[in-house]
Amino acid sequence: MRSLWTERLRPALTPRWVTITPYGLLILTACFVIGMLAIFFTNNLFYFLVAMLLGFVSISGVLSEISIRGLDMRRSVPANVHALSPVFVTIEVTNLKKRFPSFCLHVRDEALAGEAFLLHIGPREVGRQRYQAVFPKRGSYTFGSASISTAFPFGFFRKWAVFQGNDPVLILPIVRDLQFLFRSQALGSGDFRTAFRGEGANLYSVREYRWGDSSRLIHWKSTARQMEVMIKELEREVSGKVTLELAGGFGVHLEPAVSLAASLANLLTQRQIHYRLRSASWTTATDGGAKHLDAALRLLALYDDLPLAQAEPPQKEEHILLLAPAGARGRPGRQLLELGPDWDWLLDPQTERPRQVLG
Amino acid sequence: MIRVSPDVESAYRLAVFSTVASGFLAMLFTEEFSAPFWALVPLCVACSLLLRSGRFQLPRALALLAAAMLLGWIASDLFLLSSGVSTVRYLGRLALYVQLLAIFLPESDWNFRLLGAISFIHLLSAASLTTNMSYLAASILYIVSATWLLILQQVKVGIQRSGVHGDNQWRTLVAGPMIARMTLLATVVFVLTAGLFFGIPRYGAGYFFSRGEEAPVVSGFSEEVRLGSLGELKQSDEIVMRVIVAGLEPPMNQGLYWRGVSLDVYDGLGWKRGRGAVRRLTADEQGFQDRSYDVSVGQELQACQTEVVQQFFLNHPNTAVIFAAPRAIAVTGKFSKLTVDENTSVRVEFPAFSSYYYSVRSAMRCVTRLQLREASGRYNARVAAMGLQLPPDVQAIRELAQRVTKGKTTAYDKAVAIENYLVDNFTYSLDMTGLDLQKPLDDFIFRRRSGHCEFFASAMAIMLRSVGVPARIANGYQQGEWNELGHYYLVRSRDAHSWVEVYFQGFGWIEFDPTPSSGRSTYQSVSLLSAMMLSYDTVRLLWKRSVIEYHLLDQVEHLRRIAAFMRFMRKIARQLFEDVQQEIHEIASGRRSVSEVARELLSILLLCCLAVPGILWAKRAGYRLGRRVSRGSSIRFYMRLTDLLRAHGYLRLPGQTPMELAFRVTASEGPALDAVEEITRYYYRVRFRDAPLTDEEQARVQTLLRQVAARLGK
Repeated sequence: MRSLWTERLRPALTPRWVTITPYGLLILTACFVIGMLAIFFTNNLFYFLVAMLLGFVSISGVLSEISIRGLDMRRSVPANVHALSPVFVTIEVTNLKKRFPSFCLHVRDEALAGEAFLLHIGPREVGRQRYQAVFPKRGSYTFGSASISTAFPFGFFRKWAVFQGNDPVLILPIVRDLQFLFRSQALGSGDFRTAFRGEGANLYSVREYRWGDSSRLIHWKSTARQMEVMIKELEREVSGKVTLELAGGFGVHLEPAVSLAASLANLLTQRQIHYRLRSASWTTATDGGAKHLDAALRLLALYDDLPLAQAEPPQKEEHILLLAPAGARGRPGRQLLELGPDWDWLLDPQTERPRQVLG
Repeated sequence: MIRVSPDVESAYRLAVFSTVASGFLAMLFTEEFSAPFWALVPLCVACSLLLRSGRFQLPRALALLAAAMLLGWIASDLFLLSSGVSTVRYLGRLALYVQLLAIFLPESDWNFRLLGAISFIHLLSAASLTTNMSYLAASILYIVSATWLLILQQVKVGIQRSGVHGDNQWRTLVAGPMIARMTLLATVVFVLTAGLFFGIPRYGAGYFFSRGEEAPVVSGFSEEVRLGSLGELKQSDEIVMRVIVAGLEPPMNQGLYWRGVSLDVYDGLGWKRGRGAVRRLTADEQGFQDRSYDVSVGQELQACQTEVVQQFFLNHPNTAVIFAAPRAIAVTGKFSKLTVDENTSVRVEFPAFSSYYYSVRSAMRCVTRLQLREASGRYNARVAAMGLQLPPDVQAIRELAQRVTKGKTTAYDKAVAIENYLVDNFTYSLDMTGLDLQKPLDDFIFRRRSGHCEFFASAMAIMLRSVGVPARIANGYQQGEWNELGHYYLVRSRDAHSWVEVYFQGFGWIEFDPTPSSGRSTYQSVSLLSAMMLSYDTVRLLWKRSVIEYHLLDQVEHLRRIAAFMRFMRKIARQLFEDVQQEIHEIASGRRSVSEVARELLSILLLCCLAVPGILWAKRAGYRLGRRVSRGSSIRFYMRLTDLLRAHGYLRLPGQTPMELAFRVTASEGPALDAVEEITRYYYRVRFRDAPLTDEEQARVQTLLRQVAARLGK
């Protein structure tokens, strides 16, 4: 049943139309003029030329229809797409026809201003192309309609087909690098030594140099001994745990607030500090690592700016960062980060970043 | 932007230059341009290709000089040499020169499109300048190369925009299957073009018709002929016309003439048309289509005439004369106005805008020698004035004629005697140098005793007139070479001929030919080359008939046939449906079992399978389904006659018509066997006009057969 829908009914119901190209207009005009000449001069060879032009026009119409018919289109994006970050949208055009290939397909996504061109898709084959796109905001994004057009074979007509968007994709909040703002390794109080590699002050081990390692970490003694560049690995120093609270009611500063929360979560993950996020609707577990960050970002992507009612007292070794609108009152045991216009730079990378160090 | 692969570029460039070549070829086939011009074209193309290849750099000064010379040539041709040519030709030349300049433009998509468009303009110009079949070859080349060009243009844009360069995708597109697909597509375009060409309604107003080819004038069909004015006639194999004949069993063996003009006034030096009234013919149809003109008024036509329809395709229609088999009844064609004179010579009053094709209906001779012998020797004043006029000094010729016709009492016998005298005692020669131009006919008859057909015809006509038999000469063509493949007569310049028309009261003007057989064109060659030439000519005729002269009436005829076929198919389908319904009904009612019906159907299928080879064999053997049997019974009397004749040594030779056989028998056995001619006439009627014999006629035929049997038995 699904096969019948995807292979027969949906392609048949796909709206298609035709527009005439400037060349087509020229050919039809020539056809008319020569037709008149044929009538006035009673010359059968003029009729032959008219027939030839009409033959080209007819074949052009038929083949462009064959080329555009029986197509299905899907668009997909990478797993983690952040708002306002350029990503490649992959277009998959499936030729459902059993015998006829499709040629010279021009795909246009009006909403994302993306374009792709597929030269040839054989019968029962899938053609893939990608175009760069920027999703304007976080949240659930449903692709708008996209058109496929072709002027194959002769360029006299352009046949169009419009495809509706497929399943929505989740666009994650903007994540910025906040290392420069929070130089302190622990974002506050309670540093701990750990038995893991990290960026602490104590030596953990010495290893061979890998591309990308900082030159400041070169262990010169070992390097001299081994006659190879050796690098120091330092111990990890983490705080107990960090809680990021979203107070809600950000209003026009909602997006900078979400972006700040996402960026902080990213920073904490980079620094291998366990953290949790708390909002009016949800609270994540306290954890670290990429998986936790991914879950946190997905929740932030759908954050809906509800005010956080209760203020739980901080637990032992818990450092709470409260993200609240500008002018909001602080709460006991919480470091307050007020979200005002000076955080709008998070949404626009072109804007000058603040030089002030917060932690 | 992605650079397109060199392979795609090469294919694209090839398609462009192939399109350009098709345009040049189309113009070349018009034969409009002189050899120096056609030397310039390959030179320019070669230079362009050489410069494009990058292997050769032309110094700037030399390039400027070459460009100046080319522009000088073009300017001198367009402004000086072409000053007298027609607008169409001028525009054709202009388009050619623009193309010659355009091939030097740098390579870009825009310039390539320009080259393709100019090539199309060449095709358009050539269409107005030629009707030659080679135009088709140029058009096919254009269709193929333009298909390639347009598709490769799309592919090129696709490669540039999709960025697949470096990928193998373009390779699969431009190589192998894609080439096959593009060629297949070009074939489809051509087939569609052909279909549309035949389907587009032909509404030809002809407001601005140009006469097209300025062909050499067909000579010898003026209103006056001077005997011996040309010292030596040159024979040419140039094709003058092609004639398709319906209503006769071809090929006739030297039996047909394509009459152009008939001249009745002899002044001692030559022939000219008398001062008789010239009548303008009125067409029975108006509008833009073919008009049919009745030219039979005033002709003495017999009830038993055999009508022969001829379709003429003239190569060089630059003559006002309408050729036709003798005794034309009606002429149909795209003529504005036709006239006919008292000698029933038909002319176009104003040169027709398209006289390439027309058809004529003529009444073939259907009188017996016996009837001609019995014709009255008294003539009305009009015929006497027209057919008995003589110059003053023909005493010697009269005496000769009287001597030759001594003892002959009827006009027919006199005509035959003079005809035989000339055939037997004179020789045929094209060389008439040294002829006495003051008395050309006397010189021919009494001194040279050799000459060409005009002398023979003139001699016979004057000799007949001098013994009181009305006669005149007719100029036209012999029947020409029979093309077995195309089933038409191919008439060449060398088939031009003169013969005599003798008047018989009640039967009109009957043709006699005193020219010896050596003066008649014979086409006996069966060489491979001649067969090939005839095959080629068949294709040319097909081109002329089906393309150049295709018009609304042909479309109507095709539609009629399609409608008849559809009716036939509908009838069969209805019959089949009823049969199936009947079978189902019988199965449902239990009268027949399914297996029984299946066996029956299987048997029918088997019979059909066996019948198909049989039908094919019968068709190949010349049988026509449904007609052979009935005709066989209706022409049995003629088969009996041929059996009788065969038994007495009169075998019909290959290429000999039944009437020629009859003439041979009559010539050998004498007037007593005129019955053979009469039976043959009945046979013609039954065989070709589908007119069965009445009871009286059947009785008459049986009597005649008994007469023939009795005569041959003696």
